[in-house]
Parts: sequence; structure tokens; C-alpha cells
Amino acid sequence: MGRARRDFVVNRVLIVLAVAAILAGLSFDQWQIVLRNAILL
Amino acid sequence: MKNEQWADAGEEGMSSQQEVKVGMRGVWARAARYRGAVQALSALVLNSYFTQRITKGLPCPALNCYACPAAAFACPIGSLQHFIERRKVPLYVLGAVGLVGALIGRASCGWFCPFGWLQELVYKIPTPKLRLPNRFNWTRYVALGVLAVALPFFTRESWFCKLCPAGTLEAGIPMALLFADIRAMVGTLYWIKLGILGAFLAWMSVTRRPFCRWACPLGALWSPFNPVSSFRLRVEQERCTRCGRCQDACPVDIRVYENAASGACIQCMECVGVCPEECISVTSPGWSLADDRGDE
Repeated sequence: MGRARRDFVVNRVLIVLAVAAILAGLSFDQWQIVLRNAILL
Repeated sequence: MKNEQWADAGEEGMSSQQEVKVGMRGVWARAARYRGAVQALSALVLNSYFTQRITKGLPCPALNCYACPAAAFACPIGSLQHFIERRKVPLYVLGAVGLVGALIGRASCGWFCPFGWLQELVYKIPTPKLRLPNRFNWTRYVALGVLAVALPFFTRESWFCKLCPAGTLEAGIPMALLFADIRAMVGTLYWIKLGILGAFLAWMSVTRRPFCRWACPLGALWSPFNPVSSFRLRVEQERCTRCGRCQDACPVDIRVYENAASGACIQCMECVGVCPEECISVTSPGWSLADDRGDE
């Protein structure tokens, strides 16, 4: 696998993982935790 | 093969894909001229106050204190510490930071961070300048690991927030000026925070973006994404004469030709327009793949 191809694959995997982490966090209501913490400061 | 194609890009027979890339280099060089305006607009949007009841649940793509009375978004590092203090896995915050990193690397530092913008403005004050090598810039990883992760985990206190100069400037000083009850709470820690802010303000007047280079934990989180982000710099080594103009123009004083995808690079694009050989450009792993297919 060439370097460009490896970078491309790593980049897309990272994007998918980041979106998955956001969705998982949202399912645990972490958006509310961030909001409440930020508003209460 | 790829570099030869680039070198010949101005001549006849240029493919449409090469034309796009050459054109894009001009676009980025021109865009860098408006970076100050983008930074000012970003500082306004991140501190726009009115949307905060809804948008403060979103981590902003910059180090912007959410204790600031006008802050419209959450600080990613403050939110990260909040989860760590409570022994919860910060999936949402890490996902948001990771998504920005994977898409644009540290470009947020160069284009959207109000504290980064402040450092560039203060550096314009005519004082004797001190050029420091980037050799010890791993200290930002220490700031991340110790102040934003380890200490909050063991002491259940947001230690980075307690000492953050951006927080002192955007929240500590305005809150103490606006509210008498906060003024009454001013103690030793407040004066230490002011001292840290004062030291960084003095340092940023003589050295380029010292906080970003040696102390920012958010920059430390994004640095590893630079080599694999969807948007990054590329240098054609065969054409580069190592004249050093890219380093002179760089707000973080790096030698772009040594490692264009360096974790220290804030992808501001200032170097793209100043390169006399026009050998610095913006690329993406997707475009590189298209190149590879074209070469086969």
C-alpha cells in the first residue's frame, strides 16, 4: 500500500471514528453535560 | 514522476487535474491575505453571546474560554477536563476534536483561534524579537497530559482552566471587573493567573505564538492529525531551494520544507504565497490518490 493510499485510508477511518464517538457521546446525553457545565460557569 | 508533473505545470499539455491544483495554490495564497479578517470574524462568532443557550453544548474549534460572559460555545479543553474530573469517557468532546483534526488538522489554530490571533497581533508591537527553535515544543504535550488529563483525574479540579491565560483574559479579568462578589473572591490563584497571562503577553510580543508552540493542550491534541488530515501542506522537494522565506513568513517559525505535515504547522497558508519557487501547495490524501492513479 503506497503512502498516499495509507494516508487516505487512515484519514477516512479517523473521520468515521470521530463521527462514531460523537454519536456515542450523544446517546449518553453528553451534549447536555457539556451544555450544563458551560452554562453554569 | 509526480514532482516532474508539478514542475511542468505551467507549460502546455497540463492536465485538467493539474490545472485545478495550480489554481488552488493561487486561491490559498490569496486566502491567506484575508486570514486576519477570518480570525476577527471567528473571535466575534465564538463570543457572540445571543446563541449561547443552544450552542454552548458544542465544543468550539479553538481555545476560547466558555466562562467568558459572551462565549457562545464550549471550550473543548474545559469540557474534556469536566468529563475527566467526573471519571467519564469524553466521547462527544474527543469525537468533536477528532473530527476537526481529521478534516483540517491544526488549521483551526491558524484560522479560528482568538488566542492565536491575539498572539499574532501582539507580535506586531515593535520590540526586539527573539527567534526560538521549535526543539522543545513537546512541552505542549506535557500541558495536555499533566494539566488537562492527569491532575483533573486525580484531584477532580480543572487545573488547566485554573492557569489558562486565555481564560484569565476572556473570563477572569472581565468577571472580576463586572461582578463585586467575584472581586471579593480574588486571592493568590487570581494573581498567579494574572502573572501567567502577563508573562505570555510579554513573551508573545518578542516570540511568535509562544503559547501555541509550547503550552496549548488543544494544539497538542490536533498535532498528530496533521500528517493524515484531509487538508494539509505539501512541498515539492526537487524545486525547493531552501531559501527560508517560508520560515520567515510562518507564524510558528517552522521550516516548512523540512516537514510540510509537521504537527507544529498551524496550516495558515502564509508560506504558500511567499514561496518564490511556488513549490508549496495544499493537498489532500484524496487528491494524492488521484495522482497515483494518473501515474499508473
